[in-house]
Amino acid sequence: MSYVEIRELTKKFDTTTVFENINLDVDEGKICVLVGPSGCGKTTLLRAVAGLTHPDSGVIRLDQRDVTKVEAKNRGVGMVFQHYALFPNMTVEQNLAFGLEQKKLPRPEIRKKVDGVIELMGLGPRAKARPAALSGGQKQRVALARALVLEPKLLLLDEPLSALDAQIRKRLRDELKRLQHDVGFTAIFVTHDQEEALMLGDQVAIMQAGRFVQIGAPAEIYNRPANLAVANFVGDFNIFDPATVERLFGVAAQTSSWAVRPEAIDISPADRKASANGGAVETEVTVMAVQILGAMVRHYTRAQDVMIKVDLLNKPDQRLFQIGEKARISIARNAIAEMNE
Amino acid sequence: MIDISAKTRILAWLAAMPFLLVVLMFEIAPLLAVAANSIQTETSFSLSNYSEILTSKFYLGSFKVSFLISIATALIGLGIGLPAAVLLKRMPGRVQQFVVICSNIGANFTGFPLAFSFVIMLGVSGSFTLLLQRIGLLEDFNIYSTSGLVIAYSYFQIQFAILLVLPSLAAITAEIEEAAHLVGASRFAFWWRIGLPILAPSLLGSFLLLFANAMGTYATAWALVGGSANVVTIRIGELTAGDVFSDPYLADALAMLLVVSLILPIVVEQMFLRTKDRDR
Amino acid sequence: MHERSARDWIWVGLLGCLQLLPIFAIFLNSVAVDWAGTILPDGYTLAHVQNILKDPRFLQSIQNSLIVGFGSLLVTPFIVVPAILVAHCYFPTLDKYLAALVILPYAVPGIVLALGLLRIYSGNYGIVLNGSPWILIFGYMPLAAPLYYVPIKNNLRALRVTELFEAGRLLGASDALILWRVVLPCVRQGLIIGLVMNFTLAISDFVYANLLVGGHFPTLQIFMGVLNGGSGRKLSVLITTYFVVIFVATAIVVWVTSRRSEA
Repeated sequence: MSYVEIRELTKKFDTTTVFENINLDVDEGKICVLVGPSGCGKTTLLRAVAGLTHPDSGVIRLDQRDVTKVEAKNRGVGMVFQHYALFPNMTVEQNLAFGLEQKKLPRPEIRKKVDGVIELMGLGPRAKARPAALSGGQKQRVALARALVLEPKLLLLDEPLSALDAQIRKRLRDELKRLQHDVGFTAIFVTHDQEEALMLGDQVAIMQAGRFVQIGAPAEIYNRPANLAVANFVGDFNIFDPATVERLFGVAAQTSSWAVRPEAIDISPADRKASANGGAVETEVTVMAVQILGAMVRHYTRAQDVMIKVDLLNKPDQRLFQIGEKARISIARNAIAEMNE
Repeated sequence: MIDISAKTRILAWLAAMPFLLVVLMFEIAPLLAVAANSIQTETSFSLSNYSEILTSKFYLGSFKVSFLISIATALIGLGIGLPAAVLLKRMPGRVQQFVVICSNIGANFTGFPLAFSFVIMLGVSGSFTLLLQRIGLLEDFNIYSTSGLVIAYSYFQIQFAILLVLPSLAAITAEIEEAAHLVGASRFAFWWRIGLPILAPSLLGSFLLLFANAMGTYATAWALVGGSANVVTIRIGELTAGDVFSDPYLADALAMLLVVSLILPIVVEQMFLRTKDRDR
Repeated sequence: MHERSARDWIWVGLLGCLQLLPIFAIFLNSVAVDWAGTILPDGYTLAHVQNILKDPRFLQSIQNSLIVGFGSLLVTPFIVVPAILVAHCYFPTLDKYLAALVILPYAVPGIVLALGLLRIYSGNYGIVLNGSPWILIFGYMPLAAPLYYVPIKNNLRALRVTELFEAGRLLGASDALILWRVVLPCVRQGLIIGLVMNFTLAISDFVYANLLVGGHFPTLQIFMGVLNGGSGRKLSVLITTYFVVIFVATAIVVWVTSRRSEA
């Protein structure tokens, strides 16, 4: 039995179905990331797990206990909101102590726990500040601390990094990963950012229009997307429909499309014969544009009337192709993900 | 919207109930009572109160005077209040806050205190009357007149206008202003072509509230001119509490006409705003 | 944004002077020995102040006004504020109606409502409130509601109330506790502005006081009406007293709001 079990959960608002009969398992000590476009139902699912909204049918079990009908405050879950939801009239310390006070813990114990979490999150210098005086990153750290100090069975994070700017976001993301390693909490993390999902999740669940289209480890999701929609969502695959496959690579009798990651394609000058390794497919292309993406250099190439993206690692000795240059690409068979719509 | 349990919902309604009850008893019910009374006479139900008012030169005249005073003072209020608010927005927050608080008091500064202070300043032997006469700018001025009322009303109308306009100025950001100046618009051109059109809907709303405020003013008119002022509110008061003219049913009909003349423009304005929103 | 120029300051100063001028005139008159046919008084004295202090009607009217003012403060916020809070937090439809009720006192003049109150609470329907301060305390309530609604609503709009409730629930707090410990402290500033405006309304009103209570319970404003038409010296002292009361109330607002901005 998993630590968190969601079984056949259904939620409708009036006539619209948010999600229907969905299932999800999360193991103890792992981060499960729910990722998908906005409006796919991921936040509603999270809120159902929190007890902030009530599912129409189905079961939510947390640590062997059916919590479907349990009030939010008795579920033992902590939550971090996108816009922090800190109590503006209380200092950082008071915010952190609030939940402990509701548990009627003795004063000295509250003090000890609050000090501990302040130390853990590096909030010491701002302990007496009010939320209005904090930066966005600091606010979110306080929100996280406020949830963690209660030692919840499960931590829920609703797009906690989305309101922050890129730099802070990266830093907080790393910090979250470190914290999870040190403290070992179980979490469900909602985001619409695939990079964040792949980087943070031990398990990534891709949600579309109220259902899971793929659940798996990040590497699996990245390398073997279950369908075209997932492929488009997790990264910019080159997609070749069966007709194109036949036209470009001469491989006939295909029924499914091919999805190939840009960095999985080899590119070499047109005059050099590509290393014919075990059944790779090849075609001639013309380089149309070259873009430096940082660690990668992207080549936009054209084969007949089809645009193909090819990424090369940006190493000092890397030979970059010129615009207009003819080249040859080859794709290893194991780099091809075959999929249907 | 937040999910709430049945228990919370009941408690929340219980918390709101006393106020709703008070509104019903002390705002809605009195209005209905006035409406019901307005179509009665001592003996029977009839519309004769309304026909009496609508054929009486005296009562129609009081509406005319009230309208003129209210339109004039609403325009004066906006004419001075708008530039004052624009000026204030440029001031540091503390100064703004201070003037806003003064305006808050000023907008409530009505009735005897207001009337009497204007008598001191602009009465027959008021200091400003004397000063202006000595300079030769003024020959004769009677504060106990319609123009006296216009001046006295203007005092609280201007301050009320500042309070109404100031929040709507938030729509005119420094960025818009700078953008206009960068493409070469003069200050006048900016306000004429951009500022006023942006503010137009809220200025119209403010104008209607100022108009209504002046139309409904009773205490200041009573304190300054007494029964001889032919404005609607004085007529209503006279028919209610007067010893000679008392006719409560007629008073109620007059009051209903006053309410209609105030609510009608506001309703039309709201409908106008709504269609405009839809067109967008 | 434009730079502030010296000219702007002059205009603001002028505006401030105009705002204060009537008040200054009345103050001057209240301490003038004789002020007729001259631009400024001939001399200054506190004789009028001593004079009016001997008038029992003066103290009576101040006492009555304070009873109405504080009476209103003791009842109104407890009825109005809960409604504003729950409407904002739970009942958006109700909130829309409240927003409409807020303009009603502007669209329906006090004298019209006073007529209606006169009809209803004079005993025709078994309830007699007219002639007692109670009719003022309750009658002012719908008029005072916007004075609370606008500033409190401004404070509420800056809060994400729904999220605060949700965060509270997950931390084990009831909604009532969040309202009390979090929401109410956050609207403190608006509440205080509302209280002071409510008080100002209650001691400034003439229409309700005159038509509904009149001589039975003479307030400051009624007494001003009685004195109107005389020499005006006593009236000036009375009005100055009224201003001192308003000024104290206003000083509280300035103090509270500026303290808030420092925090």
